[in-house]
Parts: sequence; structure tokens; C-alpha cells
Amino acid sequence: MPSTDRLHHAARRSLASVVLAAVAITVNHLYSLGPKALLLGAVLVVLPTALLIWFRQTRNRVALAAYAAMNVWIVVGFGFYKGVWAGIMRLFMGTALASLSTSFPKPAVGRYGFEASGILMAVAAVFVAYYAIELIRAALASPTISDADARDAPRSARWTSYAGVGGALAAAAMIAAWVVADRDTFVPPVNGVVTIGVIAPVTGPYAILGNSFVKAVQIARDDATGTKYRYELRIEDSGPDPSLAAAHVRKVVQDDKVDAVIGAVSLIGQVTKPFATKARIPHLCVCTVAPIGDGAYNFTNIPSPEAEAVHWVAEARRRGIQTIGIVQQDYPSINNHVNAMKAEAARRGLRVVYDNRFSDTVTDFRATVAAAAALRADVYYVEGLAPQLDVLAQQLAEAGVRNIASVVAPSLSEKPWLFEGAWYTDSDLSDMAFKRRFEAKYPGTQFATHMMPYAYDSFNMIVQAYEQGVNPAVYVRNVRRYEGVAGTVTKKPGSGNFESAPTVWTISNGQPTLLRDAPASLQAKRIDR
Amino acid sequence: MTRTNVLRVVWIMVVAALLGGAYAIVVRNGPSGSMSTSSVPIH
Repeated sequence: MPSTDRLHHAARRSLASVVLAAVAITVNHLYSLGPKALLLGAVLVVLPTALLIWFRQTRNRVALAAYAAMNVWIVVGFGFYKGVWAGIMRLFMGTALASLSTSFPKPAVGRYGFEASGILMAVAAVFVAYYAIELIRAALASPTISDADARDAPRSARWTSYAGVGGALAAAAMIAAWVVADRDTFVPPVNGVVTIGVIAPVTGPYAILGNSFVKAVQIARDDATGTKYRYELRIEDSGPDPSLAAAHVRKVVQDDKVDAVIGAVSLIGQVTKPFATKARIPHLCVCTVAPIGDGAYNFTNIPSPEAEAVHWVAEARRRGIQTIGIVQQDYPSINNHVNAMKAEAARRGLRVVYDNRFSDTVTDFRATVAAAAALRADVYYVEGLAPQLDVLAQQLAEAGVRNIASVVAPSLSEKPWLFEGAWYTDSDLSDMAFKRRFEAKYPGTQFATHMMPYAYDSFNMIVQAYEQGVNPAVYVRNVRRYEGVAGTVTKKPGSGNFESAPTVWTISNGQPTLLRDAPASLQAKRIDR
Repeated sequence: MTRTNVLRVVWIMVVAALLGGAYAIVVRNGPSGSMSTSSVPIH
């Protein structure tokens, strides 16, 4: 083939491989950049095309060098780093290693389109590299290139063998590098100080929960005496708005480089999750959204709405309840509780005879209460957030409705005496001394039972990891059963969700009281028919 | 079969194995779907 023809042939093939790689790169980056990926794709197609046209018309070596540089960017940046190292190696080696040992994290796995386009990005880059070399050889070839081809022929088999051996060695080196880089090992804390980030919203609608949460961790820290290392807290108010929380999380995880994070509330936990994964530190989220717990660096630790529902319905059945009236605020967490309760109630043969969902603007519940009371349900499931929760409780009391039950809500009430005699499920407290100590230490802070024992136990898991000289993420991955102030929590192998059982509480003498510790009259209460 | 065709077949098999393996991993360990707004709890 004449050298000019060979050059055009190589150029066409090179450009075709670049365009195909650009398509794979664009699709892959649509998942992370959104429509901006189209701009990236346009740059990857238009720029090499323009450079190649320039080279074709002028034979300018700068054009060829710039085209080669674009190819290097595609091959090294997208093909090797993103496609092979962060794509194929993460997906296949990461998954294989995680299945063999908990020292390796389960890799984050994206949608199939993302993963497949990552693989195709790597494959296309091989062609880009091959045809770029062909093009450069053709461009630099002498006019007697055909003769040169003939001389190269016997060498080609030898080069293929060299390439094969070299490729195998490179692959082995890459696998070894991945094994070393992917493994989570214990690193003794600098100056013997372990810094634990505590990220929770302590203002807005979460003030009661968030403040209780933070103080529970502070008590856990104060209780951690006689330890090998010193444990310090880096407390950060994330605020209630998840769209603004990322800046707070970044400050704690990236800037202050904490060794672990204990977080509260799912909305904030979702924001914290990618930061913890990137920093490769454990994030124990006292929150209910199961997907946050990936079992690699992120773990959830609180009873699920389903667990609350099972215990709620069991208690209802124990009391002889057959019919339920529901008055609930339209709020995501509450909807979750109610949906789980309804499903479990239906499964166990209980009937919902009244179902009212109110918005957060309602302040007069008298018509709702009258309509509900008229149906004479065996129990009224009431759940809302302060201040409406207390307004509703007040108007229920005024209407003489006392057969009230709930999930969690009365423990978040600022006027719990309005719920006198009501029963509800909430987190267990195996050690009531914890509550007494809390109230003695923080007399001005309401003890909101729901998240506190899990915050306390989560802190202690991190402490135990360091005291035993184990990487904290690996330690938490390995926990199958933990006995703490929240009672027994368990975790299945590979899971990122600790499972625990709530228990039944009641309001006795205006105070949340474990039903098992309440007066016998409250414990044995059954429906009179 | 020529050497080139053998290489082509090997390439296709490798790429198919990678794509098929990725599919199996995504089905088993992939994202469990993003949460809808209506199911986002506060705690």
C-alpha cells in the first residue's frame, strides 16, 4: 500500500476508534455529569477531528502531536484509569476480594448502563491506542514503507509475543496493586487521638432528636475511660436541610479528616454516605433508610419501621384490639411507620376503620377527632410532630379519647402528660440507668429515647475497634451481635443494617416508661367489649 | 481460521464475558433504586 494511502487508512481507523470511545465515555459520564457529559463527548469528537483535518492538509507535526495528546488523554484518563482501574478492577476484583475477606470493602456498584459503558470505555481505549500508534508510524514512515512492512513481517510475531508477556505482567502487577490499595488496614491514630465526627441536625424540626443524639454520644465519650487512645468528638450541626448539609459534612470528613462518623437522620445520612465511602471511614447512621447501609463503610443502626410494626401489632393483639383508627401527620417518616403498621395489621387480621392524614398546616383537629371517635375504634393510632402532635393530643383528651397508641411520637412530645396511659413502640433501653444519668447530666435536654441508645452503642463500636487494633470499618463489618444499652443488635454477614427490636412504652405519671416497668394496671390493660 | 479471526473471536469473548459478568454483579449487588420522596424518613 502506498504510504499516503496507508496514512489515510490509519487516520480513518484512528478517528473511528476515537469517536466510538467518545460515545462510551459520554454514556458513562451521563450518570455522573448529566447533560454536561454531552459537552465532554462533543469535545472528544470535534477536537481530534479538527486536528486530524489540520494534519491532513498541512502535515504539520504540531497537529499530529496535539492529536496524539488527545489520544493519550482518552487512553490513560478514560480508558485505563476510569475504565480499567476504577471500572473493571473495582467491579470484578473488588467484588471478588470482598467475598473472600471483610478486610476488603464491597465496591459501590452502579447501574448496568454505567458499568457496561465503563467496560466499553476500556475496550475502546485499546483500539484508540492501537490505531493511534498505527497512524503515527504511518505518518513517520519513509516513502518505501511497503518495503519496510515486508522487513517488519517476521518481527511482528516476536513483537506480539513480547506484547503478550508484557500485558500479562502488567495485568499481574495491576492486580497486586489493587489488592494492596483496596485492603483496609489498621492505622494507629496520630498522637493517640481518635477523632469521631458527630453529624446531626440540632435545629429546626429535629431539635429534640438531634440534641438528644449528640448528648448521648457525649455521654458515651465521657464513659470511655481507661482506654489506650484518647477519643475526641468533632460535633457538627448539619442543619435540617439535606441540600445544605453537604458543606457541613465536607468540613468534618474532608477538611478535619475525622476517623469515623456517627450520624443522625436518614436525610443527612444520605449526604454523608458518599463522603464516608471516599474517605474510607466507617459511618454509623442512626437512621432507618436501609440502602444507606452498604456494608462497606456505611451502616444503619436503629429499628426499622417494619420491626416497629411487628411489635406494635403484637402488643395490639395482646390487648385484644381488633379495630384501629388512624390520625397521622402527612410526613415521610410517619407515613413509613403507618404503612408498615397497616401491612402488618392486615396480615394479622386487624382492621383499619378510620384513616386520616393531616398536613402540617392544620391546627384544629376537633372535627377529625369527632369523626374518629364516632367510629369507636378499639385504639387510635396517633402520630405527628411537635407542635401539632401536642395540639392533637390536647383535643383528643378534651373529646375523651384516651385509647391512644403510637410509634415513637409520645417520646418526642413536649407535653408527654397529654398522652397519659397511651402505649407506643420505641427503642429498647436495656439499661435505664443510662436515662437517669442523661437526665442528671443534661437536666435541660429532653431524653428522646428513639435514637439515643443506638448513638451510644455506635460510639462504643468505634472505640472497641481502635482498642483492639482493628481498622474500624473492618471491625463494624465483622460485628454480628452487639450487646449495648439498646439491648441486642444483630447484623447478617455482608449487611450494612443492624437489626434490633423495639419495645413497648407507655406514658405513666406524665413520663415515658417501659411498659415492663409500668404499673400492673397499665401493663395488663385490655379492651372491654 | 486465520490468526486475525482468532484474535477477533477472543476479543469478542472477553468483552462478552466482561459485560455478562458486570450484569451478574449489578443484579446481585447493584443499587437498590433511589428512594422516592414519599418514602424518605427523617430518622
